[in-house]
Amino acid sequence: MTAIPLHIHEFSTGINPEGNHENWISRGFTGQYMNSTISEVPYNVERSIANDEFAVAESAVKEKPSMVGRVVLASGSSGDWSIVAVITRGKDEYVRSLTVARYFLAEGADSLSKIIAWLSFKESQGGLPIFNPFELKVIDKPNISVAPIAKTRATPEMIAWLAGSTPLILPSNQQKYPFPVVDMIAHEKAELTGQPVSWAFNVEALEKPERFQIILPASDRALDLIQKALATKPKDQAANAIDEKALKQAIKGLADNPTAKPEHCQTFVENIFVVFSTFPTADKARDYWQKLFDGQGASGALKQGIYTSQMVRLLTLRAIALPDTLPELLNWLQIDPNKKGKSGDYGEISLEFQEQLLDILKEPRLKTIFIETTRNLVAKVLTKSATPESVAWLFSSKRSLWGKYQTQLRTDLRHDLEVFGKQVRRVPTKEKFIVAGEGWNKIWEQMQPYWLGSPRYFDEKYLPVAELFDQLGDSLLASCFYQLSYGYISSKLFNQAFPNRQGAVSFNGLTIREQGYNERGERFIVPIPFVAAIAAITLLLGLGGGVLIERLLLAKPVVSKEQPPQSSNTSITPTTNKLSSPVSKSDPKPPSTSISISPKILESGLAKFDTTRNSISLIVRNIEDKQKTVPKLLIEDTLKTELGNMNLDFSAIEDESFSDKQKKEAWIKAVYKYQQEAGFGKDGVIDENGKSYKKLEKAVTKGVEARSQPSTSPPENNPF
Amino acid sequence: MFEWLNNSSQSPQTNNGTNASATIRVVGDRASGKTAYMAALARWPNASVNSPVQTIIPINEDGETLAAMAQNILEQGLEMPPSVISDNVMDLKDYQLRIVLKGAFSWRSPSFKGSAKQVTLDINCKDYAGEFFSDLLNKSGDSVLNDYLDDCMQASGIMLLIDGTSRKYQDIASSIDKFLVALDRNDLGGSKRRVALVVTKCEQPDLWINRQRPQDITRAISPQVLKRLQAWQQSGAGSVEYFSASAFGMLGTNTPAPNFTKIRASRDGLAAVIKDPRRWRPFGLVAPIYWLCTGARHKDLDGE
Repeated sequence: MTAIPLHIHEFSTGINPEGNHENWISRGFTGQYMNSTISEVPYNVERSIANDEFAVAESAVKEKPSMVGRVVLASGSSGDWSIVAVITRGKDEYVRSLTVARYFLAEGADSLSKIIAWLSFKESQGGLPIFNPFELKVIDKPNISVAPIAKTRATPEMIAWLAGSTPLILPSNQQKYPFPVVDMIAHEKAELTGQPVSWAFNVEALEKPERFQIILPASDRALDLIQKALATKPKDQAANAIDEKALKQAIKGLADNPTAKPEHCQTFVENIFVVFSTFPTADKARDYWQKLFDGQGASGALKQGIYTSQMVRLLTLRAIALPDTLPELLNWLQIDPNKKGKSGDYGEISLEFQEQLLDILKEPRLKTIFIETTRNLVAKVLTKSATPESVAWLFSSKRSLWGKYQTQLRTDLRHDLEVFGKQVRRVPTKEKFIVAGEGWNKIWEQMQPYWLGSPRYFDEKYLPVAELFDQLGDSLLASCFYQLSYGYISSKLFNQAFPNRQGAVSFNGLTIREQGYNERGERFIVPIPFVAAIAAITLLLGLGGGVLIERLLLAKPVVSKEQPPQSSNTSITPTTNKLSSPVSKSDPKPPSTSISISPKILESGLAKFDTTRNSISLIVRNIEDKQKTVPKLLIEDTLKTELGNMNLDFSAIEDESFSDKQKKEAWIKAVYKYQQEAGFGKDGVIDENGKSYKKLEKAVTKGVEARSQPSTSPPENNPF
Repeated sequence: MFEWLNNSSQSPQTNNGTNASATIRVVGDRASGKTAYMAALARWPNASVNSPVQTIIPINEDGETLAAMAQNILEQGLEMPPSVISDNVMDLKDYQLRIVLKGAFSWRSPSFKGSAKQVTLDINCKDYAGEFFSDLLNKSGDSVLNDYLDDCMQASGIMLLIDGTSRKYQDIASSIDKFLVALDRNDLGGSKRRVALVVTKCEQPDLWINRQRPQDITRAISPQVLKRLQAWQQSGAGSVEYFSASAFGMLGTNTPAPNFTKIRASRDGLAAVIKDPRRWRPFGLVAPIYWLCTGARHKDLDGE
C-alpha cells in the first residue's frame, strides 16, 4: 500500500549567520523566522509558540537535540496543525550560547505521527534535520513525505503509567524511549484525557511544563527540576485555554501607555468573559485574575505603596476585571477632594484612563458588570470598606466608567425604598427589589426595625450612605439615610427634599423629621438658658456628669443643641447619641458592657437556660399573637433594647441545640442586670411565673405598641 | 501632563520618606552587558553594610524572573544568554523594581528635596536586545524597529550602556546618532528627557582606576560619542550624565582584582563570567537610576 504524500512545512529561528553549513555563529537574532517554506506561520501555531508551548528553558547539546511535539486545534481561520520543533544550541560571536529551533508542521490533528515517521526516516538516513541557517528553503516548497508510520505498541508498563497524573514524566532514558515511542505514548495519553497530543523529549527544563501531557527529561537532574517546577504550577489545566500571553500584553499595553490602544482594550474585555467561562467556578476565575494582576505588580503596589501612573492604570483595570477590588483601588488612591497634590493627581490619572476606556468599552455585557459594581459599592460604603468621599468622587465624574451608572443606581434605589416601605408595612405589592444580592439583602433585612421604628429608632451606621447621597446631591436619598442615622434631618435638607412640607413627612412608612420638630410636625423649642445651663453643668461635672447629662438629653425628644446633619459636602460629627446600637430616645438604655456576675450564677443560669429560652420565646409569641402586623424582628429588637444589650443573639433562644456558650452567657448577664435594676431576685434566669417575666413582657408589649403606632404626621409625600 | 509628572517625579510619600519613579529603557550594543546589569541590580548580592542602598525588591513577575536569572546563571559562573529580539515589542519583559536607599546617607545630596529621610526609587525598565541598536544602523523604515522606537518614547529616562572593553566605536557613535534623532522626533510634553550614559565592565583594571571620571572614560573610548551627546544636550533636547558600572565587581578591597574569568576577548569586546560568586558585589548600578529618577547625582552612590 502506498501512503498519501504528506506536505511538511518548516521554518526556523531567524539569525544573522556567519560561517558555513558545518560551522556557523550568530551575529544576532533577526526577530523574524528564516528558511521558511510557508509565507505566514498559521495564527494558532504562532500563538502556541508565543505562549511558550515550545520553549525549552535550557536546551540539550547539539548531538542530542531536544524535541517538542504537539497538536494545536483550529482557531479563527487557521485549521488544526501538527508541529514538531527540533531544538539545538548555537553560539554567537561573544561565545554566548543561544537556543535555536527548526519547526516542522503539517495540516491536520492526525499528522503528528506522520511527521515523526518522516523525522525517524531522516534520522536513519544520516541524521535528524536540525537547525542550519545555511540550508535555504523556498516558500511553497514543503518537504514531502511518504514514510509509513511505525507500528509501535504500548507495553503493559506504559499502559499502567498512563492512568497516572498529567503531565506524565517518563524516566530519563532516551534509549528505552526514543522520540517515536514518546509520541506513541502521548497519543495514548491524549486518548485518555481527551486533550490534544503534546510531548517534550530530552529536555532539561520547560518554560511551561504544565502545558504538556508527556515529558521525557534529559537527565535525572532535569527530572528533579521539572518535578519541582510542576509542584509550583496550578493543577487545574483550565488556564491552558487562555491566550495568556496576549492577555498579559494587553494589560501591560494598557497600563504602560498613557494612550489606550483599542486592540488591547478588546483583548482585555474579551478575556473578562473568556476567563469566567473557562474556569469551573467563579472563585477559580477570580484567583486566576488575582494572580495575573499580582504578576504585574498589583499586590506589590498596594503593599509597598508604589504610586506610579502605570500602577494606577493597572489597579484600575483590576477593578474592572475584579469588581470586588474597586474599594481597594479607591482607598489606595487616597481620594480626598479637599486635598490637592498627590492623591488628586493619581485619582486624576485613573479618571483620564477611565475616560479613554469609556469610548472603547462598548461591550454590552460590561454594562451589567458596571451596574452591579455600583450597587455593591454603596453596600461597601455602609460596611465602611469604602469612604463616601471616594465613592462620591468616582460617581460624580463624567469621565468615570462607573459614574455613568450612578443615576440609574439612584433611580433603582428610590424604587426599592418604595418597595421596601410597602413590604415592611405589609402593603401588598408585586414589585421586586432591583438592588439585590448578598450584601443588599442583608441591608434590607436589617433596615426593617429602623424604618418601622422611625423617627425614634435610628443608628449611625447609615451615616456614610447618607453622606454619599448628600455629596451626590440626591436630597431624597440623603434624607432617608440621615433620618435612619440620626432620627431627624437638617431643615436645609428637609426643605430641599420636601419643599412644601414642614416638620415631618412620611416617606413610604419612614417618618422623616425636620430638626426642631417632633414626629407629629410640631415645633419644639428649648430655651437657650437651659442649653447654657446644661453646658455649664457638663463642664463642671466632667465625664461622669457627661453620662448623666447625656441621659437627660436623650430623654428629651429633640434638643436644639444637637449638631444637625448638614446638606453640604462636609462630614458630620453628631454631638449626641453615639450609641452604635439603635436605642429609642424615649427609653434610653445604655448598652451593657461589663457586668460583674459570679461564675456560680453563670453556671446555674446555663443549667436553667432552657427555662429562660422558653420564657423569652413565649413573650415574643404572645406579642406576635396580639400585634399581628408587627414584624417579629421589631419585637425582638424591642426586647433586646429592654434588656439593654442589642448584641444579644436570638439564635440562642430559637435553636435548642445552640452551643455558643458565650452568647448564652450574654443573655444570662443581661437578665441578671435587668433583675438587678428592677430590684428583683437576681439569678439570670427568666421564669414564666416570675416577676422578671411579667415586667419584661409588659415593657416589651408597650415598647412595640409605641413603635408600631400609625404616624400622625402629614400624609405621605410621594416624590415619584 | 500628569504622565510626565508621575513617570519621573519626586512626590511626597505618606510613610516618612521620599519617593521618585522613572520609566526606563536600557539600550546598547549586543553584549554590552544590559541584561547582566539588570539581573545584578535585581539580585543585589553581598551588599556592603556601607552601601547607601538598603534593599532592592522585585515588584512584578518579570522583576522576579530577572533576580532568578542572576541566581541561576550569573551566580553559577555561567554566561548570560543573548536576549531574543521579538518582532512584537509588547513581548519584552518590563522589570519593575523598588530600590530603597538608607535615609542617613542621603543628606549629602542637598539638591534632592526631602532626602534626609528614606528614599525609594520605583522603576519600570525594559532592556532591549542589542539587535535594536545595531538595526538602527542598518534598517530604516522597518515596522518592528519603529515599534521599538515608539515604545522607547514613553520612557522618561534612557540608560545607554556602552561596553568599556569594546573597540567598535564608530558603529556605536553612528547608532547613538540615529537613536538621538529618533528620540527628538517625540517630545515628552515639554519635559526634558534624561539620558544616562553608563560605561559597563568597569571592573577591568584600566577602567576601574578611572571609574570616578566616567565622562573622561567616554571620551577615551569614543570622542564622537561624547561630542554627539554633548551637542544633543546643548540643543536643549534633554540632559545627559555619565556613569561607570560593573555587574561583576571586584574581589577584595585592599588589592582589588576584577571578579571575572575571561572567556574571549576581541574587537567586539570582552566575554567573561563571574569568578567567585560568593564574593560577587557589583558597583555603580544604582547611581544612574537615582539620577534618572531625581535629576540629581548621589555622591555616595557615585562613589561606590
